[in-house]
Amino acid sequence: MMKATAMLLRMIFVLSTITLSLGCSPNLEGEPDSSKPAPTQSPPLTSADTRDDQIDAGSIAARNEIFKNYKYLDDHLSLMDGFGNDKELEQSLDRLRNKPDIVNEVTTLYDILTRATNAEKHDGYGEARWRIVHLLGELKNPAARKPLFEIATTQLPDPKEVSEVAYKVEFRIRARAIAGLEKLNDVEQLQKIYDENRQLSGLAAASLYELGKPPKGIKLLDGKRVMGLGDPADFKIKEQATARKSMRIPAATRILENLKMVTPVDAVKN
Amino acid sequence: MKKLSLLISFIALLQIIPNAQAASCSAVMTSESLVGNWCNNTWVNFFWDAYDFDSGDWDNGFGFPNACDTVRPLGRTMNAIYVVNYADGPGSKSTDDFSGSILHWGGNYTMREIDELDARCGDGSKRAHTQWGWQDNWTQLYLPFFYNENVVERAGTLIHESRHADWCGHNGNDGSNMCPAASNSCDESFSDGCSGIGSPSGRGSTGFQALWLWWFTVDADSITGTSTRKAFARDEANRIFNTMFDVNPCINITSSGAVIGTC
Repeated sequence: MMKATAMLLRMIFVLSTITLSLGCSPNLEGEPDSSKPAPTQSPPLTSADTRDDQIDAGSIAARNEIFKNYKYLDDHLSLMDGFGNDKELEQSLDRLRNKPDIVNEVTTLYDILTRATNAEKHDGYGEARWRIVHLLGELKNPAARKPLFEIATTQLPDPKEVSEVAYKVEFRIRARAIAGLEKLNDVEQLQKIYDENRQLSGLAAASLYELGKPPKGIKLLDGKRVMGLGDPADFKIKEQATARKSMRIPAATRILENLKMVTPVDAVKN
Repeated sequence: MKKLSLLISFIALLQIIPNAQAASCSAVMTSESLVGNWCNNTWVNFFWDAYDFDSGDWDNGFGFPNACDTVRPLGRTMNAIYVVNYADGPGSKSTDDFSGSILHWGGNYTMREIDELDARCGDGSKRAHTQWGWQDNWTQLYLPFFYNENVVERAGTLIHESRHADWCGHNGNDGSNMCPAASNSCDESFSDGCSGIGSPSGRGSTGFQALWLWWFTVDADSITGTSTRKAFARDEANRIFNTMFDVNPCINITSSGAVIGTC
């Protein structure tokens, strides 16, 4: 019995060694190897071997329910996405500006989407909410001052308590509300945000600068010098083995074919 | 003895079966406008090869076989590829042209550095992940990339991930001066953002992303740079400048694209 147990343990040891050396360990990326550079990001969420992921279309019913009374606004949001050009967008904006209670309607839709986001705890309406706030500013209607200020000064969530997506959505919405106040030349409220809200003071300063009222100490910089062109550096020797030969990317200057479907062809791999 | 042999075989089998884990997910899929004239065989096959797509990574609802369907992840990725490669204009250019600003060479950079693009469900917490180093290199794109980011943001993400593929890991959100976003995607500063063995020096993934977004705000052509997309790019760049660096860069972008010092 002792002899059999010892043999079993020896077999397990040998087989484990063999399989580990073949790279079959399920935690390959989680195992530190001091001889190889380790990526500094957190380990991947799914192994590169999971090629059978499946995605299905979720129900659009909730979204349709929200927008069923606001189709004219949904159409405008589509134009913002690029279904149409800037000229069509401007024409749609003019039509909305002529609606008597438009600020109230846009604000109501924003509130509905915000409540849905908070209730359902997802970020699916982040883009729509940003576009609605953008629209509020574009209307250039004095009645939008109050809702824009309220949106801009609604407290940001604690980034440690929400997802990264949620935090950035909320920050951008406040940035857009501040841009809206700039469109309304609302120096007073922008100054208030600059004075009282440290996280957003830079954004408020940018708007005050454009309105000719830069806060003390704010200065224009040489953008191209400060930002730079960027440095792609040279192609590394370590990547030579996978280097692709130089090619020309195809021009996209005109419609070559009026297609709705194109099936790409996998390259033949050696 | 027979039972012992069976037991050994069973244990051996457990060791060598790969831990493949297929995931299922769903998303509310809405359509997105096609940016530019890219829905043709020449264009699609060029970039399908350039980013080393594989049909096995993009089927099962992710979009293959129709690359032009912008309701699905594949079409939305192709849309972002258009923006990152043609934001400076729809003309042709050589893939080893790295002249000018990042708006001009950014697309070439993504093609040079990214080894392959794969679609996965993910767990909702990340939009993308790149694996680099002396191992199989890849970039996985997840649900938030496809359905919580618009086309401009996705283009910025491709720039971000390509910097990782260039062996540049984040070096922020540490020490006593953490970034306001408290995110592991933070860089130490706008000009210092790379760490890890073999990493380049200089600007990191987040810095590259912010830089590209500013250039998009000021210089994107009329096809990619509609007024709404430029406004978004500005807000996204400002979000990064204000929350994603441990050391505040003290800059913000104004509505006219000017850069102001805000400290």
